[in-house]
Amino acid sequence: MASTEALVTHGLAESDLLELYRRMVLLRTYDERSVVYHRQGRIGTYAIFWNHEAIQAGATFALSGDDWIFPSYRESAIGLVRGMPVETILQWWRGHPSGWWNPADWNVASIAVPIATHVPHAAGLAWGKKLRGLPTVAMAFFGDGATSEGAFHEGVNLAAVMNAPAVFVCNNNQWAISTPIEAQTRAETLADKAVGYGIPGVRVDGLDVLAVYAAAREAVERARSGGGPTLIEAVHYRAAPHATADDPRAYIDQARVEEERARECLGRYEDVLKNAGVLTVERAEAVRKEAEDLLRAGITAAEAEAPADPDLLFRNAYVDPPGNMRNG
Amino acid sequence: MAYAFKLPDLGEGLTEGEVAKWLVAEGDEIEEDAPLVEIQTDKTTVEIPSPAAGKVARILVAEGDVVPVGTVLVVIGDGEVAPEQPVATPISDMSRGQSPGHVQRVQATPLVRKIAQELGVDVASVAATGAGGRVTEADVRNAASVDSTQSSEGRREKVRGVRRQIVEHLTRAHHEVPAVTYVEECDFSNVDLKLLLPTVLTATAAALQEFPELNARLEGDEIVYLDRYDLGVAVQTDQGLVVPVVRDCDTREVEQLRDDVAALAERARAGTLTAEELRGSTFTVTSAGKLAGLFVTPLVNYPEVGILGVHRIGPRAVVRDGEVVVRPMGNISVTFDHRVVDGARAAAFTLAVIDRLQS
Repeated sequence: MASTEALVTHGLAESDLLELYRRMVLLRTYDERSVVYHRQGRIGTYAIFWNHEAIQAGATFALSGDDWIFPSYRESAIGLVRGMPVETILQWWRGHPSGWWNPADWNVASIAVPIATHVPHAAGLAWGKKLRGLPTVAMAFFGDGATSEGAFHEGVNLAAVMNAPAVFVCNNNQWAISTPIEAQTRAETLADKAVGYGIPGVRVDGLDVLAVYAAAREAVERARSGGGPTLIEAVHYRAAPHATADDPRAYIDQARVEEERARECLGRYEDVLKNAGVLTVERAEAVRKEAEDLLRAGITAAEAEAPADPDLLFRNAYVDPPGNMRNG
Repeated sequence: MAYAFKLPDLGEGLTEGEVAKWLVAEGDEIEEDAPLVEIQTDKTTVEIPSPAAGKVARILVAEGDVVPVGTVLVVIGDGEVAPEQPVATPISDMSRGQSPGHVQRVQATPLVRKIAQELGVDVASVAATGAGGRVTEADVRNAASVDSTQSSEGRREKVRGVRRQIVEHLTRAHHEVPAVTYVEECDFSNVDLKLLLPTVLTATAAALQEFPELNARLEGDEIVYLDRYDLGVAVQTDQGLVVPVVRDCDTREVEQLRDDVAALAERARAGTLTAEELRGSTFTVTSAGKLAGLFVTPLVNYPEVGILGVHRIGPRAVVRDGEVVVRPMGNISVTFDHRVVDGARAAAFTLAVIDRLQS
């Protein structure tokens, strides 16, 4: 049985442990409600991140507010850990311009939907901050499939060569839509790829929020103290569809999915906290309710906003719109 | 204020969906997020949680109807439906050049709309040929003349549910697959006819291992050779033909296959097969017993490339060692996608199955 003492060895106070829990619950609630909102036609196609909360909350917990986060679509709601309003992210999924935040307001870059394109961005930002003598760290999130992309190689290599303060967090959920990890790489682990860049590579249980946090904290400290980038491979298994437009029953063994769902990360952390006497049933209930209320208020606020003018789509695309696009 | 629930895009760029099942009736009180309706799309069936709480005032689309995304399915709550919100004022500093107009759902001039109304044509359902996707007067008149030539005879029934899937599936199989059928006779003296189907499954799975191009799929410009031998078995039900899948026919005993076939057929007739049980067959076997005919030319179960038919078995006169004798004879057919399978190979495959059944 875990004790508070054992938990505190991670360098976290009780209040930190509970804040980490609150963030996981908020992410989980955001994700589960978004699937419902999608089915109700209130948001568009949505990339599900159910059971990825330990990675997202754990890794970002090692950052300071000045550090930058570079999310992929799987981390669409990661701004929540920085206090970004729920409605901003919902509006992004509604295709509304108010869903595009100013990255400098939150130190959270725009969501990268193309695979791995943001890895060089993170490397560049980290290098730039270093050149200016600032202690800022850049943390990029991407999936297992991203490690096969050219941009991943270019970004990680550049960060390594420039000794840029970057942390690369690979969310290895073992599926790139329907491509399994065996078809993705011949490497035994994705963390092994770090060897080729001359940087440390670590492999961590992606369902253990404290393990992810510990690995991220070490990487962030290394980056900040001039030790250069780290590649973290957080291993788990995608226990939900890739997105709302996907039916994984066509390619994933459902028995395996059920197994994975049974050992999901939030319940696991909740048990750890309860056993350590940090979290009571009432407290857990209150945290969940707070998250649900935030989501309810968020969708109400998003829907109360006037719909976007579809013309905006074309506004910055053409100086002189071609004839067939003109009002005539 | 009432809430008009429109069919959402449940996929990525989905254009339509079928109302599979209403989980509420008009007059029911429903809570927000309570199960409202099941929608079937190209990919899957999803349960929609209600976006609003209140009384189900009107259900506007019947079960089995396929409607475009954006169609109002149900009105929840009392009073008027909230009007669509006006579009936000464009951000002026983003404005550049000449701005295109708003895209409306249907573009037609008031005159064309008036003509459509007079002719009883729904302008939204007319295929538009005008500039910028506009519905023209000619489009409306064409639609009206097509409508008037439609016969008013007979009883009309909407194609829905299993029948609709059959229609789509077989249309595709028929359009895309250049199919050829090869037939040869088989002496069933050595087959326990009570175990006919499982015995045929075993023989087929064994022969498929020698002829991998028949246990395959054509996907774009690639032939995918499968190393599973999961055979579909065509079962006639009250709703229509369904093809549940018997797994691992290459490694399991005839008795196990018999039990599987019996269980699947029973669930097929009861309508309780799961999607999983209907998915992933690599080749199909069809046998209609006494109704199986001398032979038939079935359609291949797309995207598979072959289907084996076992036809009516009965006592027939055949010549053995120069003598006319009576033997339980029946024909075996193999219908194959000629793009993937050559005729000689299909014939050799059929004979390999027959050899196994005769030995």
